[in-house]
Amino acid sequence: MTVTHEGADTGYEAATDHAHHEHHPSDGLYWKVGAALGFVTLLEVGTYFVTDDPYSHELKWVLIIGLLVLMTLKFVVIVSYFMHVKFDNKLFRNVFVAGLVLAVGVYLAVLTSFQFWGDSYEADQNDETGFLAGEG
Amino acid sequence: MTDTAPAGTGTAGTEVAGPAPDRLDGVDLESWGLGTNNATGLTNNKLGMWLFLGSDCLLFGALISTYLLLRHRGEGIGPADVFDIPFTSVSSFVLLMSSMSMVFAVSAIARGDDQRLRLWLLVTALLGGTFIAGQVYEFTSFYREGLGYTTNLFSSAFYSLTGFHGVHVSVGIVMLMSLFVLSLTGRLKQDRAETVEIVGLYWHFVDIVWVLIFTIVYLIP
Repeated sequence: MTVTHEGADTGYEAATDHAHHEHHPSDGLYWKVGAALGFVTLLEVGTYFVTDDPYSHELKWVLIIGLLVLMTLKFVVIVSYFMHVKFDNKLFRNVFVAGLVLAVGVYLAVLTSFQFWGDSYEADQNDETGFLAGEG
Repeated sequence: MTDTAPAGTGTAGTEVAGPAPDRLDGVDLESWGLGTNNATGLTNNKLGMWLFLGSDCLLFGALISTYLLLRHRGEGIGPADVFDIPFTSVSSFVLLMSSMSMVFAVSAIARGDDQRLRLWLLVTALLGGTFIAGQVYEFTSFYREGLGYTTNLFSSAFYSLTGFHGVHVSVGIVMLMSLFVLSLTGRLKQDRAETVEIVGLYWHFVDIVWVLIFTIVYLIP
């Protein structure tokens, strides 16, 4: 089967169309996103100064969940705006998200298999005979 | 079927007669990494960087989960004894701002503004260098407090995680300075904007990894 350059042109047109029409945010938007990220970082650091010992405080879980939410927010904003995922071809996003989801899934399974989430893991920390007790 | 050399750039599953053009509408496709583009119409260089970043998630996932499992194991110095949150907060802010200067560098080369490109590349590299200097200071002060790499399981996991991140930042600085020199010698023009964008992707990835480390390792003891 002989094919003319029409087939090739489709690919090139898509590529050059992508190159010419890819929409990137303006510098003004980058300043706003940067300022928002700086503010969120200030909020995160602020939790450290809530009390002398925030993790013995009755609000411990509010602080931890709040920090995880702020961390996720910063992550998503940087990937969306600074890495242009919001404006770029979806294949790039899918490739990255595939690796991210795989990593999160695998290592949540690892942590679960070590009973990281339960009280038993906390109790094991003082187990001097445990294989992870710190002899090494 | 024809025996003419296939260009290999047609739609999937087809062969194309004759060589594919390396220029189209005045755009040097090779310099954009489009010379070997495939049926997706996307550049292989950029797709390759995204694949690398996706796989790097697994490396840092392993290091972070190992740290979580080991941080309170063993005796001796623990996280609460050595961490200096205000100091690390400033380092984190510096790295975050370096991400912003990097997008300005990408934006500058897209406009063909070489001077601004060099300025923002230099600012990004300097901010990255400041972060590394902070990490060296932190590691030195921890060591002086008695926390060596093999002191206990916490120290091994901590130094491995933050050390690997530091190596990533250092590699990023080398790439930024290479771009700076290329631009200075006139070999990095607007038609190679994607090269800067790809280095930018790497740099932002290093930043988002630190966003995770800062919260999980430092702020949630």
